[in-house]
Amino acid sequence: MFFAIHFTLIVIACCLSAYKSYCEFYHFQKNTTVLNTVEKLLKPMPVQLYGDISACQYGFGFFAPNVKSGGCIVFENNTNIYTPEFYGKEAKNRFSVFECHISDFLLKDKATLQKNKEQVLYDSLRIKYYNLIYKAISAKLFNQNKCVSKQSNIGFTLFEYPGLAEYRKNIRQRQIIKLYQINTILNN
Amino acid sequence: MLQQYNKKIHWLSFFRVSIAAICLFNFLSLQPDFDLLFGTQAYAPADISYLLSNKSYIPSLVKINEALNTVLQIKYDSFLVAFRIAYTLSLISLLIGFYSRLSAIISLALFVVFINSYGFYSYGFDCFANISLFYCFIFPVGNYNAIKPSKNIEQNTKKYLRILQIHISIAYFFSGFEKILGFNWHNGESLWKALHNINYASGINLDFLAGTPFFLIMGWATIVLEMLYPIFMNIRQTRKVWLFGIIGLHLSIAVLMGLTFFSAIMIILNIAAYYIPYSNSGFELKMLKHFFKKNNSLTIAN
Repeated sequence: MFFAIHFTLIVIACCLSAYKSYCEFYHFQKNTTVLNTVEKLLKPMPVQLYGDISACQYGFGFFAPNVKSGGCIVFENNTNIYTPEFYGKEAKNRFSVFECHISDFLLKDKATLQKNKEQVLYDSLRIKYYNLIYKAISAKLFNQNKCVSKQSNIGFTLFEYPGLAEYRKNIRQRQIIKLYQINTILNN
Repeated sequence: MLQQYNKKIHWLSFFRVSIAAICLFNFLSLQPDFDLLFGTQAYAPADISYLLSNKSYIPSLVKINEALNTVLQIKYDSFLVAFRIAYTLSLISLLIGFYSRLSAIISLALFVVFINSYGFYSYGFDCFANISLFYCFIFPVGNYNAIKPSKNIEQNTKKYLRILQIHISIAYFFSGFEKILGFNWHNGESLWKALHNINYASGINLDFLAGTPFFLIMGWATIVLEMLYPIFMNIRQTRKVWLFGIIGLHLSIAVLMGLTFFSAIMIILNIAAYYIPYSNSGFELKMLKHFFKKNNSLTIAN
């Protein structure tokens, strides 16, 4: 019985994750009635707690339905460019997961804007939050690299490699797209 | 003395030892950068970063530290040192099988708190590490090859094996299913994009294959391997071929995308669920026989 509930929760979470990512990728309107009913099942405190402990609330859509674009946080000071550096590959991988969250948010926002201006619902708190993170990273990189110029800027840059079809047409240049940038004034 | 090796390695002991080991290696690999990721001097300081990933029912490390500060004055970085030691010790204890169930629940609790505190750094490895530590707590993993084996040894472990197999099968099916929903997985573009992602670049260049159907075939092969996993891994005749394919897929992810820990934990889960329980002779015994044959000094009775 216990494991029947356990696997039911896993399958529900997987279906929900697949449905949400499908709608987001193809910009389909989500069926809120179905979504609310299913989410109600997963909302009670014991279910959520059990989900967090057993990890049965995760979906398994790795690199799906689409592979996300890669990008990184870039700090510029006096024409010099710095990025967060790590000693090990694992730490670098984990920081890039964080960067992926940022690019997801920035790109999702852009996609919504292009689709329907009236329906732009972006989380202003999240923007404030990312700005706070950017400022903290700026300060760290500023001190780490013993920067001199007080005027700096930090932002998120997307590095887009040409797609397979473009590559076959001899387009080989990686596109560098500045998605977001803020200016910071820092002192030593 | 060698008679004790004349037994098949049990899948539960392999599961416990290898899951504890991979979690330990993963955690140790983060140590040189620990302060840069999680400390007060981190790029994204803990007191800011936990706001995004904070789930209401699981306390974050920052919250626990704040609660402790009402009684004892402990700096966050010192608190993190204590956490690092406790998590490492609990995993070592699980690995050697010292009070396995207790070690498993401590490891799981510390892991869940850690992941909740830094959710935006977590990826596929953490999802499967969480699942595996949960099963280390539920399954009788301390029954076999443990320093302190459980007193009541449960003989029938088949139901636990089925649980692990069902969970892995669901995971692979949905992983393949979500891929087939994306049109870019149908023409090889997604695979190409994944291999050229700046965050996962490995330095191995496969661009010379762009003019061939390599990416198209490999994209579909990934989908087929994953979606049909629950069927072909559970048919005796096709199990080995499918296992070979899945391990090949994970080795490619490790080599071409640098996701070594994720690949390693997936390979471990596959071996624990679908190789060891069905292997006719324990590989540990085979390896020992080979070793002693070479040294010609001792023999092992069959």
